Amino acid sequence: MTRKQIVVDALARVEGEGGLRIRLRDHRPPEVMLRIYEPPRFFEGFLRGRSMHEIPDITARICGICPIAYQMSGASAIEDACEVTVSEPVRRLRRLMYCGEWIESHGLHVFMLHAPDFLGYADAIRMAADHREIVVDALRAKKVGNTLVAAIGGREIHPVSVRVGGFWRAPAKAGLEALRPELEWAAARVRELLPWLASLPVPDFERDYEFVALHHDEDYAIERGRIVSSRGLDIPVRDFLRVFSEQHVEHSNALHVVTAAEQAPYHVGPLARYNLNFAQLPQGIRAAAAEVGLVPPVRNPFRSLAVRAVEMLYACEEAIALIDTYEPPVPPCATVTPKAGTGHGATEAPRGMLYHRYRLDETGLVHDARIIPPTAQNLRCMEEDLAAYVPPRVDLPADRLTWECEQAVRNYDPCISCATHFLEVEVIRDGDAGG
Amino acid sequence: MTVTPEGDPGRPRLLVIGVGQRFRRDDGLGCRVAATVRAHAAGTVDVVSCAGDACDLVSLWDGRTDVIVVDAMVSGAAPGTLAEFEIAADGGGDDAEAGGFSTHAHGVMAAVGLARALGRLPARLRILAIEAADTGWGDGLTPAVEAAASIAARRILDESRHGGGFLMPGGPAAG
Repeated sequence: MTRKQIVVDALARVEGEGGLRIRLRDHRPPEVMLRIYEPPRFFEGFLRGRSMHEIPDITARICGICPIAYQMSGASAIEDACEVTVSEPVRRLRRLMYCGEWIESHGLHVFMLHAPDFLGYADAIRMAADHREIVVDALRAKKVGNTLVAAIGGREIHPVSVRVGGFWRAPAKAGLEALRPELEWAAARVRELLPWLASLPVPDFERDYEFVALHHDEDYAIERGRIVSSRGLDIPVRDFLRVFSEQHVEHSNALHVVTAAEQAPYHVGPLARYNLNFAQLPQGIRAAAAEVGLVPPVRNPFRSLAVRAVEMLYACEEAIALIDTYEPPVPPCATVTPKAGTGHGATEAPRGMLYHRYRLDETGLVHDARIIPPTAQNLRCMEEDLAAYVPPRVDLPADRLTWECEQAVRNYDPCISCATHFLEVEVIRDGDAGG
Repeated sequence: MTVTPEGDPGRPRLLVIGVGQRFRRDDGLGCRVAATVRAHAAGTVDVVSCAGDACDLVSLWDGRTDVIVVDAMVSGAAPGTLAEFEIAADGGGDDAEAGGFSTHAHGVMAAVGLARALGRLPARLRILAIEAADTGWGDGLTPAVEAAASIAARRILDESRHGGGFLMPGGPAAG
């Protein structure tokens, strides 16, 4: 008789606090619970009654890793409500700033948080002893992203330059051009490390996900686009809540997001973007990815490590291209006159699509807010991954199985703090724990 | 937050890093001490504040030879107790057990462990810790911590002017 339970009380190397519990019993589907016990943060509640102009600064505080995603989705939603389209130079500066966040966030996750899993180290400190050069270079590359964000935003965490309509102040071209050598170094180093990252052993595991991401014909979607999926969905951002719905589950302070029609999970993030928008990547990056075997569709979530590295490379090269053509937007901000109505915004945070919706009155006060982060959209996928991953591996030693389950969760670079807005892991074998 | 070493040819320029979050009451003491030192020693001491991200800390002190990190501690000592820890380059235990490396559950010691593994510890790295009383929501330090933060800043300033050590080990802060 097989009765096992995997229990991890606090998942490590994820953003925020949560745990994992998997229960296996004969003849029953595995019970997988990603227990998100980080307290709710009530951002949507206390945004009510605030001015629309405060949205970028308040929502940036939801996350220290991806504040720009919150600022950009928030500003876009307000601009949508007020029927304002930002100028092309402002849009390009936003994209450049977003590249900095992708470099910083992907650099942190790929090298410091996720690579230790593949190499058998408990964390980056232990990994550093044997892979000093890689860790040193990872820190340097991450710093490149930080520096780019700070150059545009005033500081790297919770930047202060973003406002509804654009920026309080646009940086001088010379200041951005000074960053070019380090961006070139980072691009070259990530390109050099890509074959190594793609060669790290991954479990033989694929699932038939519905991938969902923004898509734009002209570029690899980051700050704009329509919502598309691998099963034919193609909708404007304003239809998000018509197609997707949030569910509360007892074991999680973070809502689960599923498709409204089938109540089915879907997958957002680097794999989704890569599979849906591969054609929008520059030819040189497509070739580098193909050389290391990353031919879309990539359905093995463990390969997200290498796909993130491809996106990191793209973000470096895209930042260089944006700097080369940069001219400070004049004015740095569009005039945004408050208007009663509802606005929708979505951008691609490093972890996946981030959706905001605000209902405003005629003075620009927020009457209702909805913020749906990527981790909430991926939670059901994570649980279903584990439900499929564990049964064939149930005879692995407990510590090995627990390790692999945590690694499977980290495939999604989950941000529990955003999602509650998550990770301890519990693999409970009933015979061991009496559960 | 790039800090360029400069200063007296004969004496390495001191870098003070205040760690914390000022909207979590006493957790903001590192930022308070940093602000005070900056106000009184601009041009002679390099001062930065940060949230305590391990990657950022390692980058901040990389290439420096004399660094003081000011942070809050919760040890059970009396609120406002000052403690100084001199970090040895060769360590004395398992750095990863000092918290491991994550992005939320990390501390200054994770940065120390990472820097030591990378061979990137400053020649002299001291951690000046002050026992916190309240790390709940809100701005402003509790009275005992406020007093200790002033003393810590004054001692750092005295050291920056006159050299030498700045702290008596252990015990509640005394003027």
